[in-house]
Amino acid sequence: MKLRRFSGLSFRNLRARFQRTLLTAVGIVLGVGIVFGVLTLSTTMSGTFEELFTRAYGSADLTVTAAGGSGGFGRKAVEEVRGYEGVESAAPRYSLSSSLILDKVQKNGLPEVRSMRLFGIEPQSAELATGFELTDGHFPRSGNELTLDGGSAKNAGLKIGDTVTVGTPEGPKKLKLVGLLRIPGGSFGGLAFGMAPLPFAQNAFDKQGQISGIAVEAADGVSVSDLGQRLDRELGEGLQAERSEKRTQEISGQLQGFKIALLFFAGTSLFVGAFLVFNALSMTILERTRELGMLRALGSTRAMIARSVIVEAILLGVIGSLLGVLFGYGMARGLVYLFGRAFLFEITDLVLSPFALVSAIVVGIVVTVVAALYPAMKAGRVSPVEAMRARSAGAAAETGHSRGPSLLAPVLGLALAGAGIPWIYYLARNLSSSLDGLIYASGIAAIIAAFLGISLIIPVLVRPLAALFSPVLRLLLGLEGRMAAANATRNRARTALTAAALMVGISLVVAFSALGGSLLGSIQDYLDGSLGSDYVVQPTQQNSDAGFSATLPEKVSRVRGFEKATSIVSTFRQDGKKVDAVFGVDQNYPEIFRVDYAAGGSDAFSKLKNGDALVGKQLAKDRGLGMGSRIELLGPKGKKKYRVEGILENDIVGGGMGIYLSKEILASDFNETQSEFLAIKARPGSDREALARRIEAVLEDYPQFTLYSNAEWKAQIESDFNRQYVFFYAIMGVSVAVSAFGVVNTLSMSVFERTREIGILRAVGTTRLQIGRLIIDEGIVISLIGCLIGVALGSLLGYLFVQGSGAGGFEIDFYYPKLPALAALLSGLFIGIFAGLLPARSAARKGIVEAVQYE
Amino acid sequence: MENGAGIAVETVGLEKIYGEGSTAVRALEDVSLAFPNGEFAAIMGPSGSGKSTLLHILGALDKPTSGRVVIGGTELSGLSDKKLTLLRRERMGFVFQFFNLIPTLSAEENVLLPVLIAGKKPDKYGERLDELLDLVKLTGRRTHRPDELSGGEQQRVAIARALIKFPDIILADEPTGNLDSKTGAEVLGLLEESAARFEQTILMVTHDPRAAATAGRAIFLSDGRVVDEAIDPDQDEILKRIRTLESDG
Repeated sequence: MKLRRFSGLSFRNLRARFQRTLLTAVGIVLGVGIVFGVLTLSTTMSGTFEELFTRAYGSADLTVTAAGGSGGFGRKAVEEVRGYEGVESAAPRYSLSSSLILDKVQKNGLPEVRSMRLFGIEPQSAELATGFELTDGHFPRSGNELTLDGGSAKNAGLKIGDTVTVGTPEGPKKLKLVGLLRIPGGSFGGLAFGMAPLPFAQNAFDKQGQISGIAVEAADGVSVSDLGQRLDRELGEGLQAERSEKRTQEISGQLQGFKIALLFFAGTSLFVGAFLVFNALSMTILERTRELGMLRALGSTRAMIARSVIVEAILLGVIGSLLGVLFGYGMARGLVYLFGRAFLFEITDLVLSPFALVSAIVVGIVVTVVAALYPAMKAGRVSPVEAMRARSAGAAAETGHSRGPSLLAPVLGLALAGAGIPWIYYLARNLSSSLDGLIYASGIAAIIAAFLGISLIIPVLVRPLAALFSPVLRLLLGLEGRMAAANATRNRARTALTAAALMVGISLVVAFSALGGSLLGSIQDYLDGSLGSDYVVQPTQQNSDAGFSATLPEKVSRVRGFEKATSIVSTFRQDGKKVDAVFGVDQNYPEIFRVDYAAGGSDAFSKLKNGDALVGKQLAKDRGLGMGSRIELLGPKGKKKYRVEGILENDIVGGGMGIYLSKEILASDFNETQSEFLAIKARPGSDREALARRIEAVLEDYPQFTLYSNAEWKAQIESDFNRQYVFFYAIMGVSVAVSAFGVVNTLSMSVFERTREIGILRAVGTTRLQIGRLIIDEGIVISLIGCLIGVALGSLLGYLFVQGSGAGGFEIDFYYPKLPALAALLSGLFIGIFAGLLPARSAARKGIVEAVQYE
Repeated sequence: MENGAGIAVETVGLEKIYGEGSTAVRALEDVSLAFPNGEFAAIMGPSGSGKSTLLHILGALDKPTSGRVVIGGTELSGLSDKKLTLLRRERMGFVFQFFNLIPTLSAEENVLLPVLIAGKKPDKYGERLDELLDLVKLTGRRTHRPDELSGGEQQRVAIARALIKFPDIILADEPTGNLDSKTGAEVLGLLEESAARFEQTILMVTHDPRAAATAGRAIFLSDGRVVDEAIDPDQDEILKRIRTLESDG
């Protein structure tokens, strides 16, 4: 293709510097890839949740529930609703946490268990009660009939006509499989989904006469929202009617914060990718100083030159972003898989949205172009006189930089970091419990300000840090090490930028692991030091919220060696936008969970019997609650008020935001009676192993529950943490990978710049190996600077996060992430070595004569 | 040539000072010169004599600290960078010591570069391109890249590039500096021929007495001042004058 326009030069430039282009593009490809991956994960998550919840709860026009959003209410409300004008049909249901108990026996001798959401329905209105389509057989009609989702049935090897065991608070029940359902995406997030006759559900779960929701279909020509408002008003205080999609939207709205955090982690990769683009383009311009001077001499205007650099950036951005989304599809698959593992919510189908596609590409191009603005401006400023200069561009560049960074940059950097870091602390300390979009955004802005600020300070730190490494390097790596350290300081701006890019990823990883490690450490500490129980009973499946009634604790309490136990009933009460976590506890609670009071004495607990409440410290602070204040909760009996008789200093269960009532109140006011958690204390001096065996014997009837010793429980919590961390590390690791490519880029620039010098070194007898090591050592110096600063900043951020998060109710002690920090420093070493390999090879291979003659 | 005055380039009292205060270096001092249309002038002088600085200012690449430069009747002082750029684009051609070809472009694309920079259609210059390639004897190598050409060929491409847009003035900075003597002579012959054929003014900075001998006038600079001048000089004459200059200095 013949060059037809001046702008065509940009294409040629990219093509001519293919390797550089590729290396630069890698940053964009990975950055756009992970952003696209996260956006796709987000849409997939929302899409899957919405679809499932719409099907499960809201394919009908309206949904009637107990006020506050959950809990049982009387079946008779159905007839009342059916009697309303404008109501075409109404279907009652009871949504329950249950489990599927398979015949397959595992290694530990217990049957395999699957978590299951079970809907009790009435046969004549089964179709309306949930939105799932029947593919085979029929809906449950009477007795012990069950309809199951096709995926789970297939997975468990069940056919219509088979007998299925279902776990209930009263022990396992046998049901007959009579029909199969189709679930979009093949699975209800990894949960089984079943439907059984309402009377069966009510009896097996001890909810006689109750339902938890009514699906309502409006008659033709009736305004759904008018009908909804009328029902909401007229059904009484204890019931609420909402458009079904509103409930679904609320559920996906709750994912917002999570999504923003993910996007932030992914965005840092692009941010780091921008560093790469900036560096590479700046270098290209230095290399081409004479050429640019010639173009200026020949009559190109400054704007034309600047534009040609921008065009180059746009091309780079377009190519990188397009490859990025291709690559991002793979990343999205990986993320969805990791998400499923981390949060026990399986997603099988990716939702590809045009929005994610377009925004990832646009963001990729914009970031590339923004990173190119300054280099483009510099390119325009090249004097036409440069065309006549004999010196090589690299030499000119170095003398240009030897003046060092101006004072302005570090001062600005200090100001940015000085503003950003305290703001992060303030946010974490005061607002971590009520994160909304704006606060989140300002927190992210503060972190970015801190990153930018530190990046601006790094050039000043390069020389002292390199000087610090220098004797160590000399000791470890000989003369090359010392020379490499000196080389790294020759273009401080570039070294600093490369190191800064690495710092971003490393500090995020360290900060995040500091937060996680501290949280985990504190929880384990609490379990070791303060928990008064020896064993806990929890659902076998981690994604299960199956509950038990009073029967199970009662059976356990009769076991020899048992001293006492406490169980917790929980419910969420919603009132407008406000959602409260409410816990029903008994008198044994304070004897097993150590309770410290911020207000109210030790007798506060006994006042729960009278219908009073205890609240977490953070909740009290947020709502301005004090002793004697009243809190209001919505339930099937309408609005109920409770007097605050104590404020918990250490609200471990509710994370500072919990409301504690007596179990009796939860049963009477909210119809909530099932517990999910049982903590058991052994009688002092009893045989623990024998006790555990006896409890396990009781649990044989409840395979959906498992007994954990404190040590097992601790290990379980740790493995949960680790699983979730893998997911986050995967996202953050991308930015570290991008910055590693930045090190490669910088080193190849160094090699290019010093071609002549390398030739001279070779001419005076330096071996190829020594030249190669010189380059690799420089890589180590650069990446160690980045990692060292990253670990320092990450530790600080982590400390701030921990201080902030601990403010609410559960005080978190700061556990320094020793292993992650050490790993980060080691990775600095490895990144330096691996990034140096190729450039070192090309440096070592330069012909001596050619290099010495090089202009 | 629309220049009625007959003077292509004129300078009056040029002065150029680099740096400030005690580190200031006076590169040019009171340089007043006039180059008539069609003249082929060589500017000579030892390193640091200011000859490159003078060429930069004559080529509107750099601005003098004081004094005036008039090119084709246009006074340069006070012109914006953009105006200067357009002036270079429309009226000047440059030949550099290091050829300065773009390595990613073929010979003919390099020649057409000024046309592309001016935003004109390369097709309109097809005939001119053929003529110039013929002149510089590169018709057979038009699609070759610079790295496939010898030094002499590269400089011939650069000369064709300087001529493509019919400039009034050609500025050459050590055009033979990187060439052997035979190739250097060829390149100079080309410059001379084109100046005669297209009535162009050529201003050339050189170290090389043989190169300067091709020119119609040689101007000698020392310590930023014009110290001597020779009309139609031959090589011996130039060598003699250089020796005198050196013994003075």
